[in-house]
Amino acid sequence: MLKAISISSFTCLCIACIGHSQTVSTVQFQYHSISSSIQADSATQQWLKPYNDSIEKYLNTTIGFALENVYKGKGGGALGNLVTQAMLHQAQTKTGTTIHAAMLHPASIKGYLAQGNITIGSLTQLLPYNNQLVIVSISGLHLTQFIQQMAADGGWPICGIKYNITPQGNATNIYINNEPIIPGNTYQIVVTDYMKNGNYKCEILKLLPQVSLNTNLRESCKVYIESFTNNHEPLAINKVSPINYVYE
Amino acid sequence: MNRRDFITSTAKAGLLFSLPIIPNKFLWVDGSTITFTLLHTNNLQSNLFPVKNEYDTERHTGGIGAHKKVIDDIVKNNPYTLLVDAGDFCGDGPVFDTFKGKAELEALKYLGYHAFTLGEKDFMAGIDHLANNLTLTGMKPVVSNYDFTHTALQNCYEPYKIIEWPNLKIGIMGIVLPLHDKISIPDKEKIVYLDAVEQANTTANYLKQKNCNMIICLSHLGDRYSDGNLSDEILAKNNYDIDVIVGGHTQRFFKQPRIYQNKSSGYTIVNQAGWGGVQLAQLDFEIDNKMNKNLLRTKNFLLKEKKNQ
Repeated sequence: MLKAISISSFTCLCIACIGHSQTVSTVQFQYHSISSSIQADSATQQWLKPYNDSIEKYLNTTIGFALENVYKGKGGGALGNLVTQAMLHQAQTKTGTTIHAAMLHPASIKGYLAQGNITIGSLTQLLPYNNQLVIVSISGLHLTQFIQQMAADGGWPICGIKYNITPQGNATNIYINNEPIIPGNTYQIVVTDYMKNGNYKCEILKLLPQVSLNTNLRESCKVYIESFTNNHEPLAINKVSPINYVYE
Repeated sequence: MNRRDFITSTAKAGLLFSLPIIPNKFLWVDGSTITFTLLHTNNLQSNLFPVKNEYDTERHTGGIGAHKKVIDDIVKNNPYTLLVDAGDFCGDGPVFDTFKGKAELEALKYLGYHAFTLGEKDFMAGIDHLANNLTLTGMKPVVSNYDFTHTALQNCYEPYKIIEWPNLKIGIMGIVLPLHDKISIPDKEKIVYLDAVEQANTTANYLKQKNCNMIICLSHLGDRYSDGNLSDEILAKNNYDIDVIVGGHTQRFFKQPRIYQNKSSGYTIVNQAGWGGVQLAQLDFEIDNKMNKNLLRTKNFLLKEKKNQ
């Protein structure tokens, strides 16, 4: 039984032209909230059951083991390192070429990775978005500008690049694979399509050439974690931050 | 309350709102009116199951179960009910990871949707996979502003759709946002974007010539943008014959529709219903045989599903 508990009404006075005459009339807008919880009828429950069973089975699939809790932290933390390492690993495996660095918008990671079995379900909670991975060709000049943008935002998860952030939010001592960035060089970086499409402080990436990897962020992490499991190794966690916050 | 009681009581309360007259060859045989109900969703995003509230795990909103109950109840009370969706029936999460859009299409079919359009997320599994799912489920999205001729989608969509009841004919079109910078899939350059406003006007005019009593546009453009990007607002102000734009993409929970004056000095209504199937929007119109269409009332249902006991 449906029951409306809250109804907000808005009345709007409108003038509408009808032929050559004008009519002044009102329309009431009602906001109905269905409060009584609705239980799916048995036919619908029956219809949903095979889907529910398949998803439960999929989410409960164990793909690896974490020896300890892994947290996001400032600038990405150990969890940011793990995810960007997975991106870089997948990009290099899929392309068979040198990919210089991986970067990720921090909001792509939610919560933390809990100690114990890692399941598809826990990975889905960690990385809820189906962000696709793309390789972007970027000049050293633009890459430096992008890193400055990330530094001003407090530092984003990153792999393959090290730098300092000053109290003013500037990036200094930037190194890519332990070499200074050369403005005229072209670098290959792996990012998400969300970033490549120029969203949130990634405008600089929008017009650059890209190659799609035909895989998403979560799948990359799954493959990366499984690579340890398949070798009977615990998941390696790098706790060393590639970003050094300099306090003068 | 039956249809007649509803119309009478609403009219007595002075709640009639007149929409523009669209000249067409009307189908009425007597002087009665029909109450037409438009039910709509957008951005369902693979939420077959209720969306969990991250702050209150006991509260779940949306889900197929709640949807089915509310829809069935409304259709039972008014057979002149149209159920439509404005795109992004697929979305991030385990349902999509497991079924890649097929279960989502089967859910639209199970719930009895009359028409739906596409959003950028519906392409996540790739063009060929989407086409395969559409073929397997027998579902066809309405897309009026894309040319899919050189892709697997070429026979899997309709540029417009007309739904008929006795004495009532509703024309539907679908307008999808420019996709190319929103998706990262193989062969995306083979799908050809056609100017949304131009195609909307051409299609609406065609539906008008087909004597549709009301013309509805399912839009995945987004309601409006501060940078002036193409939106439902721009389409509403620059069309001639569209009565209602059912919006999506921007995932806004409208409390009431926005009403714009269009190019033919009439009005176009824009409405949107949030995301995830959390909200179901209802617009009730009165349509008479003198070519008048009146918006009687709007409702927004916030759906909650009870857990199994």
